[in-house]
Amino acid sequence: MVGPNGAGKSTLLKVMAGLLEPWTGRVEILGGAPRREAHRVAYVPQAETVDWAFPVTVADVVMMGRYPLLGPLRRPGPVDRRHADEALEKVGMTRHRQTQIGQLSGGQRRRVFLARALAADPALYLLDEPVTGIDATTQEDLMDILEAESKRGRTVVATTHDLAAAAARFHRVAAINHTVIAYGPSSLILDPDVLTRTYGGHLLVLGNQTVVLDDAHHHDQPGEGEVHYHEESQRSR
Amino acid sequence: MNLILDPLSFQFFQRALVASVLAGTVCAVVGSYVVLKGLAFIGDAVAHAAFPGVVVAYLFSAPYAIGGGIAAFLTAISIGWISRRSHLRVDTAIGVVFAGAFALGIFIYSGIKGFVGDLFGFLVGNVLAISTGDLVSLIVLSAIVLGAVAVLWKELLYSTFDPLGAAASGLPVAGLEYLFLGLVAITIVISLQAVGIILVVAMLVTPAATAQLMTVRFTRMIVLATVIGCVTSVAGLYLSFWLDVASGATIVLVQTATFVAALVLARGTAVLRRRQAVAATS
Repeated sequence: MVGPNGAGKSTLLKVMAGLLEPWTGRVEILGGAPRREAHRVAYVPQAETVDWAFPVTVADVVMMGRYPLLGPLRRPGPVDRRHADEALEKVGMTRHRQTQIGQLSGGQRRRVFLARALAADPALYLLDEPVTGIDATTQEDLMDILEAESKRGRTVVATTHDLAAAAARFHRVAAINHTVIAYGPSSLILDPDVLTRTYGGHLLVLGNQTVVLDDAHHHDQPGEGEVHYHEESQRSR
Repeated sequence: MNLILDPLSFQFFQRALVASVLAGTVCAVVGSYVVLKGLAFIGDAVAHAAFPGVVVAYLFSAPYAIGGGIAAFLTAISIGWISRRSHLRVDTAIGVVFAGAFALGIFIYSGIKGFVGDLFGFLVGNVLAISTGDLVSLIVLSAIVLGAVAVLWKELLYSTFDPLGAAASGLPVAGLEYLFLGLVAITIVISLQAVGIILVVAMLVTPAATAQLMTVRFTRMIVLATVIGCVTSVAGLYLSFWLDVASGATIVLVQTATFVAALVLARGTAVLRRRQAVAATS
């Protein structure tokens, strides 16, 4: 799912996860109401929503992915430990298993949260900005893992600001701005018409290159380079 | 040696010792979640709000635990309800509700004709006056709270750490939240006679906070908090007996001293580590 800030991508994802009730309309996930198959859904919120000083280690967080499958009273057993270990291995965090989560870098924190989702072995991944604001290596690694999950028959739904990655890595793209502007094969997102309708005035087309000016930060500081440039190009048009 | 054994020859001291250890244990376990959820202020509010319940129970000669427990739980629920239904911040809702409830307790209390010395004990704690019947209900309530946490520790941990992730993966986070507030209410009732309404928040928060300074593992934090809670309760009780001063206040002061010591030690080791790191690189 792509679209400008405030378009409703995160909200749609939360509705799909059953965290929000839709005001109108009906949502069906895995053939039922959103919360009905919740243990088969792994939702990964945006990274900044937890307390990083919390006294849990990397291994603890990944094991949490198994908790909903266990139910009360049952403690994690060998099967759960195997799933958690495999998930840690996939994201390359085995070495840091005993580290308190606050000691990790931003990219490592994303890896751990993805590992928690992997440990649950869900049918559906709902990921809110999984690769925003992290280093290129981690972005590539996480995308590779998600692609592997997709090849195993799992469904991966993610919001992103990275249009190039969306086009290259995902089968289908939904362009959203308060409503679904377009939905179809991921090449759709490189269509200038779709982009203009999705991003409106924040879109800049320079020859065959498209630049999306989609950052609240730019609106706050209109004196800054890119927006200034954007205004100039409009005037010259 | 006699300093330790002599007080134990008094039955009231034995009962007080058991009550203090129970309160210390339950408060430490529940307090670990309270500290991590950032609910210290709610703990204080719920404790104060138990007072009108205790007073009303006294008027009807009902068990104080039932009156206090109901009042405490209703307060916890209404704080959540007000902050969800209005645009007020949670701490504002807490401030309004707990002061109002406490005032109601004082209002009824001040209207009671005759001797109300027992009730004053609930404000500042009087663990030496605890009866065998009260002790039995304390044991039952402690078993309920510790049992509930033993069954749901991992669900409570997940929903404390990441409520959104936990809810999305199918945990009944809202139900767990109400259950937890209920556990806080019972915990406070358990501790009322040991340290009293005004100081109970210290029992709930201080051992858990001290433990959090000393470890980065949640299980270790609960265990450490329990050890600290028990040891400081016993030490505080003995100290108050030897010095002939208020038991609840002494227990809380011992806990506060432990916290300060842990804080100084934690900072000390951090400074030391940094110096070693600097020495190693230079």
